[in-house]
Amino acid sequence: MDLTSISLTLTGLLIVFLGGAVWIGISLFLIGAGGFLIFTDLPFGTIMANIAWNNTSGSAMMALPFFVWMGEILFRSRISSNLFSGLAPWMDAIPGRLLHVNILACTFFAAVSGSSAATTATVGKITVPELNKRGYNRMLAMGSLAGSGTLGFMIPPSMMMLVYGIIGDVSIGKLFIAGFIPGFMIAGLFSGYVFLVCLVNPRLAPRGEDRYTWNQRLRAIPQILPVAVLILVVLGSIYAGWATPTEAGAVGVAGSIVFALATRSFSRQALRESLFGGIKTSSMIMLIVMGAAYLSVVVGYLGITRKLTTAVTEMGLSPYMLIVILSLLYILLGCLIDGFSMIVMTTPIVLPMVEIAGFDPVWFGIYLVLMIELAQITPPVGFNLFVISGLNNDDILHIAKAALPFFSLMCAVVIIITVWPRLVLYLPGLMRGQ
Amino acid sequence: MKAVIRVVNAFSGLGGWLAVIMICLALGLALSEILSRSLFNKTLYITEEYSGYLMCTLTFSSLAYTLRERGHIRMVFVLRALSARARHFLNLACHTVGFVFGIGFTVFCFLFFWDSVVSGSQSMQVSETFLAIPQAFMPLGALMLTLQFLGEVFKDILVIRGDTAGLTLTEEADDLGR
Repeated sequence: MDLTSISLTLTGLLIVFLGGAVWIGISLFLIGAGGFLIFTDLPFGTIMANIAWNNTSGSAMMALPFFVWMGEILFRSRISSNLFSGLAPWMDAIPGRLLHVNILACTFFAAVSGSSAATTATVGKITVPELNKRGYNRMLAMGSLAGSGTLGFMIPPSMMMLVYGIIGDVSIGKLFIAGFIPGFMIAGLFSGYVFLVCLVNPRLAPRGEDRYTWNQRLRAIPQILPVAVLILVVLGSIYAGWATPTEAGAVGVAGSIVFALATRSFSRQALRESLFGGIKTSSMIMLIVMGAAYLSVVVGYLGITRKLTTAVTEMGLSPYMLIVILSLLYILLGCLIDGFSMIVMTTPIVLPMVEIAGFDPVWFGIYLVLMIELAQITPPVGFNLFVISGLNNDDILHIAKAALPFFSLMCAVVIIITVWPRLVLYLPGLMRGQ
Repeated sequence: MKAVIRVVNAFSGLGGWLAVIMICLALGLALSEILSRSLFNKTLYITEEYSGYLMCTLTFSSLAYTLRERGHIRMVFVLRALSARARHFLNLACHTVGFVFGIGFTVFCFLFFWDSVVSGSQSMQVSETFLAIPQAFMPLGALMLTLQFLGEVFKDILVIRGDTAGLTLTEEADDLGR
């Protein structure tokens, strides 16, 4: 059988398994095993066990449960609601007012949590009722939350970057630091957009009865401090080269527990729930990682990656054209599958192509995370849409429509970082200890 | 069938607790390494190696628990478009596929572990740990996953029969860390 037929057979089987609601990790394992059995004479079982061991026994992987656990602790403690109280007085005088809190709180929370859905849920559970109560424009409130929630993946620590770093063998520390500028750029663009539309139409964000003095604003700062300190310690230690991402994750967990206890919002039950939530998410990701690693071995062994890379090279596409095609492909994929699956299924095939086209693997990681952020707010599988729908019972398509301007702004950031890749690569270049 | 489901659920719950112990041990180890390095300028030497073993143990121990709690992701749009009865049958088919996969996974993980036992493989690090010790959790975790799939198959059969008294039916999780 020729390589094209083999590729089409494997892809067809994958679609059948995934569409048939078989778990993603198990589907990947089964297709990999099928590929080995049908098209090679290699011992597929021995390779399966070896891959499972090699992909779970690396110390870098331990960062994953740590960062997930840290986010779970913050989600369950009062630290997140204090963030709203600390930021709200500062935004009161700006057109857009509390809508900026949606964006800023997501930015802050994203810097201590690696998850987009956790960021959206944590910030949304506080801001959605407040904004509804104060008569803010519902579309703008939902859209800004949906868009800003995706920053959970871009601003480090990020579970997506961790998984990409491990699958693509790219420095996780560099990926984390590279996410800063694009992340803040997105937050800045979102805030700028909210500022402009509310300046033109102030009724979108009406001024409430609350009036804050400078004294109140200054007194609100301590409420933001726990998150700010965690950001500094966790990310500062990676940036300065004092700690590996795993150690930084451990410090983040310890710090979150200390702050949660200090705010008297961390019960034994919250500790138990955060632990089980952490292991559940980690286990879910690890099954996919193992399955994808197994499938990528058979894909590599059969020469599919090499053939695809050669074919794309022979097409003589310019690097920009390649990114345009990949972007369309990822946006389409994002409508159908979740972010983790997008990373693990495409990285082994696409990364060699983009490297040949002259793109840096760290840059590509950030680009890929941006594509996944877009997927978070595209129906029908946009998880942020589900989270917001759970918060205010709105229709998924209605929320997706509200998020459309923010989707467009993120597309603009994709263009900006493609034209000026240095925006992504500048900070990693300054890192020590890498 | 219900007795089997209860035993399997309890077994997976134990796996969850085992994973919790592992993550706490890993946290303790990483913090000890940081303290030892910062305060005494010394390293524990085994932190990286043992973090890896703990991660492997954590992953395998929690696979069955995560399945029990509907934590593993799958594409559910086809499933949701079906009628309730068709959905139960598709779930039964999926759990059967999972069970068959689990049997193979357990066998291969066991052979991998047993190979380490027979050859007496040791790590190349300073600790010279017998690799069979952390690897023992691979067939154990895979077996727990297989049994949980079997429990889910039994659960689906009972649901199709309409005999759900005393069963806890968990919904698919929508927002797991994504």
